[in-house]
Amino acid sequence: MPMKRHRAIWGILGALLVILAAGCASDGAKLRKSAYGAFGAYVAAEEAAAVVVKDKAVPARVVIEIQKAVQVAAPVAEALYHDLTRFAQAQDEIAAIYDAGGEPGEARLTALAQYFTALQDSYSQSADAIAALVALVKGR
Amino acid sequence: MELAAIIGIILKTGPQAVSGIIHLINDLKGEPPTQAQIDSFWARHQSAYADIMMEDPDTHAKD
Repeated sequence: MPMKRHRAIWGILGALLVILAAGCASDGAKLRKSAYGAFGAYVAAEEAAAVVVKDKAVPARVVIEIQKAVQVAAPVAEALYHDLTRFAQAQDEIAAIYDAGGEPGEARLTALAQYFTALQDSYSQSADAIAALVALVKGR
Repeated sequence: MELAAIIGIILKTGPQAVSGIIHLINDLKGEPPTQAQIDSFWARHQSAYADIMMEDPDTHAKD
């Protein structure tokens, strides 16, 4: 009986992981696009900022202000990039395993769920820093 | 025993369901960004970041 219970518990955990992975797959595609869009928006703002600071008519005060804003926002955007890359690679690897008719195993599915949560966190954290830089550049 | 059997079926059919869901979502909403697309933004970020940080404020007009 304990053996059956043990198997049943592992079975339930496995089923939950599959359900979680399914949730990550649907929400994951959306989050992956949103995070990519946010990182792209940051890069566009950064490129616009680069044009502004290269203009010698722009006062030194403004150049320093933009440099400080970029120093704050860049690490946040870079964390977003790294989390996005890690999640995208894990998701693609799992999709490839399923496509080949295999099963990724619990370790991969658990890791995917963790990467999903990390990407969600860095995506929400990046919003303010990116918006601040975008607003700063737009104001110039 | 029955519970274990049901869970066994779920575990066997789950991967196909997940794969189907992934394909369905991709079909419905378009493919998510590829690593090459993400890395392209990364390269642009590094270039823009270097341009901004290397700019010397002393070469600009004072207020």
